[in-house]
Amino acid sequence: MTNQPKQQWGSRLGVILAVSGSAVGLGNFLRFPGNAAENGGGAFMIPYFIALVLLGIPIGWAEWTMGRYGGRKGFHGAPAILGVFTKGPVGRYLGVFGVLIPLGVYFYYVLIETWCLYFVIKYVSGGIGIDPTAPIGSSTEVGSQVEVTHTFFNEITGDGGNGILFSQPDGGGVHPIVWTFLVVASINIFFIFRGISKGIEAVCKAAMPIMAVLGVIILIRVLTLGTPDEAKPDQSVLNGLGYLWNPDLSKLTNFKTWLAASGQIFFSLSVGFGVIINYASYMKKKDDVVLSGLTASATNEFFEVALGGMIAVTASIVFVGVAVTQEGQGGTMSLGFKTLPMVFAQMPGGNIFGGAFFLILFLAAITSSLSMLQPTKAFIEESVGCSRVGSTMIVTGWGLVGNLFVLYYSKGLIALDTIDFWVGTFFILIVAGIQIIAFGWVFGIDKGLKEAHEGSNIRIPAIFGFIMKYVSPTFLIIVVVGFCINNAPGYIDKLFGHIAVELSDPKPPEGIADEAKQNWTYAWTQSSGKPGTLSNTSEAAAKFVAAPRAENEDNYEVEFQVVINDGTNTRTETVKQKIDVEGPPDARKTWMLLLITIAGIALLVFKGAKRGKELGLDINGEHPLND
Amino acid sequence: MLANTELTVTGWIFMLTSIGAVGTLVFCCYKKILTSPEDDEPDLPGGLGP
Repeated sequence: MTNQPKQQWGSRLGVILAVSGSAVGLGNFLRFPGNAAENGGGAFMIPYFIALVLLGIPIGWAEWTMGRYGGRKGFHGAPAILGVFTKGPVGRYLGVFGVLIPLGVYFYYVLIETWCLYFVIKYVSGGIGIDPTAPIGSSTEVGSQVEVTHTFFNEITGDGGNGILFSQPDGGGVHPIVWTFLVVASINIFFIFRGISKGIEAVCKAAMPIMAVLGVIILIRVLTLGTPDEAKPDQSVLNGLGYLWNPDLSKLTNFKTWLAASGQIFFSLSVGFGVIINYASYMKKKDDVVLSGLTASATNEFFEVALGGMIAVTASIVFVGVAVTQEGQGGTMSLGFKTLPMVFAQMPGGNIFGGAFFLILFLAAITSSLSMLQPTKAFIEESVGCSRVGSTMIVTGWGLVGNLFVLYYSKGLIALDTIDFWVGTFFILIVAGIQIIAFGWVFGIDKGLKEAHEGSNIRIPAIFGFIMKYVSPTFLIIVVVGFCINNAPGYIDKLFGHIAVELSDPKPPEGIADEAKQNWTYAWTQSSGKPGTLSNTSEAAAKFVAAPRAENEDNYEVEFQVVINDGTNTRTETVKQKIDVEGPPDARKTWMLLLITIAGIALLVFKGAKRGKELGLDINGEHPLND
Repeated sequence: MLANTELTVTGWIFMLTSIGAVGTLVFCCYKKILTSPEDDEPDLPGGLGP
C-alpha cells in the first residue's frame, strides 16, 4: 500500500458532472444529428429511447455499482475490479481491455481535441479563410467553399502524407497544429496530475455549465435564423428542423436503424469504456450510485437531444442546403470540421458563433480526454505501487507516445481510424458485455441489486432485475453481431490489404423513398484505372475489390460507370473512387502499437495480482465485504 | 428522413416529446440530487489504490 491519502470525490454533484463530462463529447453534437437524420428522423427516437432503457441505463447502473464495490475492496482499475466480480484471473485479464480502451482512445482523441482548439484560435483571429461569396461548389472546384474547407481540414490533420505535420513540403517546418497539440497535451497532464477532486472534478464543474450556457446561446441564434436568403426558401430553420425531426416510420422495419440507435446510445453514454467503473471506485460506501448513474445518463441525453439535435444539422440546412449537409452527415468529423465552417462563414457574426461552437466541442473533448487518462493512472498505481507523480509521468508518457504515433501516421487518418474502430468501438461492446454478464450472472443479479441499493436515493424498479440479467445481454449480443456483420469485414480487409469499396449512385434524386427504388435496375462497369474485381454489378450498391498492392505502389484512382433505369428513364453516371493501397501497412503498424500496449497492460495486471496477493487483498473476490 | 420539407405536425410532436422527455428527466434527477442529503460519514481507508 502506498502512503498517499486515499482520493475521493469532493461532492456527489462532482462525480456526476465528471461522468457526464466524460460521456458528453463530439458525438453528442455531431454524430447524433447525422445519425438521426439518416435513420428515420423523429422515428429514430423510438429505437433510441428503447436502447437507452434496455441497454444504456442498466449497463451504466451495473458499472457504477461494480466500481463502488471494487473501490471498497481497495481496487480502482478495471482488471482488478473485474477480477473481483468474476472471481478469478479470467475476468482480471479480460479487464485489460478496460484499460486499453480509455488509453487507446486517448491516443487519438487528444488530436481531435487539438483540432477543436485550433479552430477556436482561428475563429478568434479572423476565421479559416472561407469566402462566403464564393460558390459552395465541390472538393474539386478550386476556390469554392467546399474546396477551401476540405483543404484546410486536410492540412491540419496531415492527411496528405505521413510525417507531413512535422515537416511541411514547402519548407515551412512544423505545422502550427503540432504546437497546439503540445498545449492541449500539457493541459491534460496538468489536470491529471492535480488528481480526482482538484483536477477532473474542478474542470468538469466549470466546463459543464459553460457548455450548457454556450449551447443554449448558439441554439437561440440558430432557431432565430429564419430564412436568411429569400432566394432559397427551402433553406429555412423550419426546413432544417423538418429534415432532422420529420419521422420516416418505414425506417423502423430496417434492422440498420435499430443498430444505429443502439450504437448511438451505447457510445454516447460511455458505458463499457472503463471510465465509470474507475470513477465510481472513488465513491464512499454509502454514496448513492443509482440516482447518480441515472442523472449522469440524463445529463448526457440532454446535451445530445436538446442541443445536439437542434444545432448542427439545422444550421447546416439553413446555410448550405440539403446536398452538402448530406455529404457531411456521414461522419462526426465531416459534419463538424468540413461542413460547419462553411455555415459559420455565412452566418452573421459567424466568427463569434464559430469560436463559441468549437469552444463547446473543445470543452466536451477535454472533459472526455481527462477521463481517459485517470483509469490507466489508477491502474498503474495499484499494479506497481508507485506514487501519484510516478503514475502521472508513466501514463502521460505512454499517452504521448500514442499521440505522436497517430500524429505522425496521419495519411488518410488511417491510424486514427483503425484505433477508433477497434478500440473505440468494437472493444467497448466486448467490455460492456463482460461487465453485464459478470454483474448479472457471476456476481448474481440479486446480490448486485442489493449492493446497488446501498445508500441509494431511489430504487431500481424490480423489472430491471430481469432486464439486466436477460434482456441487456441478449440485446448487446444482437448489437455486437449486427455491428460485426456491417463493419468488421471492411476493417479486416483494410488490415490485410484487400481494399474493398462500396459504390453507389453519385446523384441520388431527392424526395424518393427507398421503397420506390426497389424496381430500379443498375448496371455497373469499370471504365478506367487498374482492374480489380467488381461484384453486385446489378445492385444499387456494387462492390469493388482492388488488385493486390504492387511493391511501393502509390494510391490511385479508378473510374466506374453505372446505368440506372427507373422504369421510365435511363441515366448514366460516372463514379470516381480513390484506392488507398498505402493504408494497410499503416493499419498494421497501428495494430503493432495496440498489441504492444495490450502486452504492457497484461504484464501490469500480472504484477498487480501478485502485489495484491502479497498485501492480502481479496483479488479473486472470495470474501464478502466486511462492513 | 423526408427530403427538405418543412417541419410537419408529427415532426413537431416527435421533437417536442423527445426534448420534453430528456428535459423532464434531467430536471427531476437534479432536483432529487440537490434535495437529498449527502452521506458525510468518513470512509474506510483504501487498499492498494491512490
